Amino acid sequence: MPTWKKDKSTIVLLLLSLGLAIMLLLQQTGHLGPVYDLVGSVVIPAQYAVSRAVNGVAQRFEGLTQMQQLEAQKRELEETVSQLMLKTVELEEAKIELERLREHLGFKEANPEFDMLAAEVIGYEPTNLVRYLIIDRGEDDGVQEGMPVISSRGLVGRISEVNARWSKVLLLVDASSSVNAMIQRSRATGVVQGHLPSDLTMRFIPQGDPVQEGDIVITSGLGGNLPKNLVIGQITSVRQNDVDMFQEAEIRSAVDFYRLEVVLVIRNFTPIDFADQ
Amino acid sequence: MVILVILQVVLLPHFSLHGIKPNLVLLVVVVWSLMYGAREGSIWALMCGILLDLLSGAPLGAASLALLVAGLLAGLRLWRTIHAQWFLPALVAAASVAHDLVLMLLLQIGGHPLIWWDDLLRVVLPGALLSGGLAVLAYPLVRRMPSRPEAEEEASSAAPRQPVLW
Repeated sequence: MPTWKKDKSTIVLLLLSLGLAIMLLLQQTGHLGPVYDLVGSVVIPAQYAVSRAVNGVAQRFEGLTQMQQLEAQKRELEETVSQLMLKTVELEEAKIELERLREHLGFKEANPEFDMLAAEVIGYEPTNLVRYLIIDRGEDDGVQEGMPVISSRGLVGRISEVNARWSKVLLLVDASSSVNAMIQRSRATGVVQGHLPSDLTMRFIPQGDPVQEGDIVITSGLGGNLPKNLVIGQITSVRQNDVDMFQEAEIRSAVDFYRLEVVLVIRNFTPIDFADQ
Repeated sequence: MVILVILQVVLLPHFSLHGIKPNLVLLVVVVWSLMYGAREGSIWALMCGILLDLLSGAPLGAASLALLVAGLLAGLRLWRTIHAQWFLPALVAAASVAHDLVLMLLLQIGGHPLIWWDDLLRVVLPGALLSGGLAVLAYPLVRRMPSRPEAEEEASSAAPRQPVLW
């Protein structure tokens, strides 16, 4: 290394050491404040500017990263929402199912004398002029023609045709359906007949027997076609004419025949067929 | 065809009003007859009808026969010449009434109790209106109705002859 260069660096080193020594001395004596101020006035604005620039870039990068994270979170949340929605629907469905089964179970427990088989409604009559439904139980499950079909709300109808795995149920509201019935309160008897579109009329109620709106109509068991005391419906209006031999009453069933999902088939009741005897 | 019948038996009852529902099978049979002629329509009517008969509580064959009559009526050349596709709902409603009247007749023969006038007003007409309403959905289908050979023949025979220049 040339001598002058060696000397120059030595001088710089010496100057720096001297500066450091002076600064140490000034710090010890408490006179370093102005130096700090001087340095601060130069460095801090620059530091601030650089810091802002760096922070801006960093924030951009951070923003990008966060955006990606947010995007991922959004996707996750969307997935969670759809899963929760599905779960809610499933739970709602399970709740309805549970309520229905509870209703049926309650009915079953309240009527232990009946051997009831639950059947799912899998179809309805395709035309408007007859009233049938199709259930998923048949001969294989011990279902036989004529067996009563009920729901927890009352009588639905009876089995009219049996196949191995499914059966047709003639609804109470079909025009060809007629059921021997009686009014629970007065024990007045009559015949409940269905007629289109979905009405029920109790006919042949003896003229003198008391009938009034709100009376509950149940099966009388007469004729041996159906068990006694199954609820048919409630009287909504009475037609009484002094010159007629009988009274008539319109009945509203509690069963919604077109929204049935599960019905019960009473298996331990065999209708009596007088024609055979 | 099977899907159509299943829809009629399973889905449509959920849209019924007091037990009265539109007849989707009838609508398809009418549209088919209108588009491809009475013969094609009859095939659909019979095939769907047999399936419906198996699921219906009505006497066996009643649904087939009623659909067949509706299909044959809808396949008349007359509808083609007067562009009946433009008033399809009315045509479907009329076919529905015809279908139900045939069905009622067969039910009556089978011993099913009916109160004709009452059932006509309270069941047949509302059912026809519902089926006619459903027919609006079939407009896009019939709008692009392909030409039918016999209809063309008829149209050409009905067209006025051009005067011959001597």
